Amino acid sequence: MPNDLFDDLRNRGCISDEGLAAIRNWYAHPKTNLFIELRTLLYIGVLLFTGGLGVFIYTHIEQLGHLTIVAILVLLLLGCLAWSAKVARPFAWHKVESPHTGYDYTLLLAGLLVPILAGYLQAQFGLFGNRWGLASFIPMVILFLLAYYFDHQGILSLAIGNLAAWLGITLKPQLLANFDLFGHPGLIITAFVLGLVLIAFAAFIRTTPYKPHFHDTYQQFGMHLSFLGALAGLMTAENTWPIWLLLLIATGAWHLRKSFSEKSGYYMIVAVAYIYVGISYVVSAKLLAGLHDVDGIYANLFYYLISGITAGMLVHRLHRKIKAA
Amino acid sequence: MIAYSKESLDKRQLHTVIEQLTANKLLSADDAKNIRALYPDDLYSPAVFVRTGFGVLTLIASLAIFGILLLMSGGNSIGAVCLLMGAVSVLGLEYFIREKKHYHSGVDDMLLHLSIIYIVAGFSLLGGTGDRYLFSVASFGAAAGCTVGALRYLNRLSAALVPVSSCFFIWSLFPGWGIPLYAYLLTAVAMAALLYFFTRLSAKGKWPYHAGCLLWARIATVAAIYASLHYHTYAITHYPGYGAGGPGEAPMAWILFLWAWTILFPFGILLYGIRRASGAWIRVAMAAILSLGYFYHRYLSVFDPATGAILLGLALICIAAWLILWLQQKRSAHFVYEPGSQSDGLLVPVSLIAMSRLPGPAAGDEAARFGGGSFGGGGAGSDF
Repeated sequence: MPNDLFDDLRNRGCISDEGLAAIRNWYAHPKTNLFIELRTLLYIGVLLFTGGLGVFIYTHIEQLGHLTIVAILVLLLLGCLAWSAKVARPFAWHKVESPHTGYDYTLLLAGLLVPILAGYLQAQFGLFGNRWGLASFIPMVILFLLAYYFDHQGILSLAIGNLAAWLGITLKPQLLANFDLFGHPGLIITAFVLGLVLIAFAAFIRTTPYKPHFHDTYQQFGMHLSFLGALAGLMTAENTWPIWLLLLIATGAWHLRKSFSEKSGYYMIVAVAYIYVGISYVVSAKLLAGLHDVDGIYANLFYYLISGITAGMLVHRLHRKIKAA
Repeated sequence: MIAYSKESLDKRQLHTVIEQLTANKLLSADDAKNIRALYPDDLYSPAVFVRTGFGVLTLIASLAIFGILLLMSGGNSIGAVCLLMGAVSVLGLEYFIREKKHYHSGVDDMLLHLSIIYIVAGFSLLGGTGDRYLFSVASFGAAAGCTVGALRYLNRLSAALVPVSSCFFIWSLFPGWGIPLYAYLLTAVAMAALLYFFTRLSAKGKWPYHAGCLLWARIATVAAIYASLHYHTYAITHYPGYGAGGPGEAPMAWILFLWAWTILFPFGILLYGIRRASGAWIRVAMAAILSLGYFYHRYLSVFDPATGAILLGLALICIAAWLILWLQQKRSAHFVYEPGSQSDGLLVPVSLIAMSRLPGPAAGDEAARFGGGSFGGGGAGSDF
């Protein structure tokens, strides 16, 4: 047993006698934690099962019949929900701990089945007629209710994804036939605004007693959606790109400030990365686009050399400051 | 030999141990904080996202310099430019380690791998012509460079790439087009020798700072043995001219060996991992066992892929759920299932730390104790 280290720490006054005894006992009977391994195994199992089931249904649809498939999906969904409701801890507005691992994954399966079932009913039976937006709105509402009732951040992510899909389909039904996000400026603006709304909502719920721990999920979606929206606007707009560049930098600056207040290197690096991509696009595609042949290549190479080193130094300095804050 | 200060590495490992002890509730947060304050970690290692950012920015800057130098040379001296970039990268690497105390920060990782790539590419391009020659020089250079990366810079990826590039070097030794079948058998034998060598080094404990590198090298070696022998046997049993006269005419002994090897080897690793209570080897076994599903589908195809995925998914869910329930009942003496705590590898760093190298109050010096000796896990602390 590697006692030297702990004996020394004890002698140096860093560990008490009781602490030393507990550590020695723990080292005498070491135990390996298989938490990550078993969670990974479970996750792969659920992915294989749901993926395989989807392909199986698709390839055997003629033999099974649509009603049989719907019945199986409904039964599976109800079964998952009923079991989850049975083992779930009572509802509360604060964070409710999961009773066990199986509960999380059963609920996740139920959450995945909701949009699948709605989509299937709409595609095969035209349940909502031509109102395709409704086919994404109803699952979204159900998913939000499930996420809040069962306190499940995975289902909340599905619900936010559905919210974005609903907004997209409502604004541009043509998306169903041709999934071309960059061809619709209105969608880019919607994505950016939705991102900002999610960020604002994340900041708001943190100050309330109503599931404040959902802040991270809203914030993640909001952050990436707003940055991607601003970048898409910058790259597609011919005349208004300076406005998009300003919006991108403003969003980045807000996240840099947030990284300091929350001591988060993650927010800092994400903000720097998106701003760097945006500025680099402007420099290469707008400012240096007039240079030709070797001049253009030299100018770009020097830009990336200087900007790469500068950005690296900036990240280093910001990270040090965040750690010291 | 090691580029980093050993005292700094000891402190880093001490911090790792403290973190793990705190996660396992064996050390109070206050005690941990005080030990960290007593032995401050002076190495700079940001979290994974910042590390990735540093790596990407270093890559951008390095490629930009490479492009500028290449343009300045007129594009005629690619080999020389590569060697120059390799030298610059090594100098930069040493500067960041010595002056800036970077330790797996993303900058040093990227500079190390870029320097290996530049130097290997430089020697390959300057040395001569011919595909086989390039292949030999590049693979040998990569093996040598990765060995240096593992020994001097404690880089685990480099350690894992040593056996991989050695495999390529062995294959490059066979003249003519294509790789003869016995090359795979030779590879398996060579990798077995390397595995024995790495295992001996690990067991002796004389390479305490390289424990992680040795583990990664052993894992890569085992994967190479498994894959090369598997392919060797598969080719003998399936390809005419490699032993089988034609499809379905392979010697029964080889067929039996193929399936025994393919199926039993991953479970052998699993057994080894369980016996050693090693999370790393159990993860390797998991990956190998999951790949069995692919081999099964590829060679036998009893089920269509969808049915196979459903059955395998159900099996995995059942196995994982059963194991979780079993571990939660505290019925295992060696394994636990506890969210938030991570104990695998805890014994390794502890045994490596030489307290004598760590500066601080002298052992047994009562005056040096916090709060006159009442500090500690016994509940004191108000006077600390």
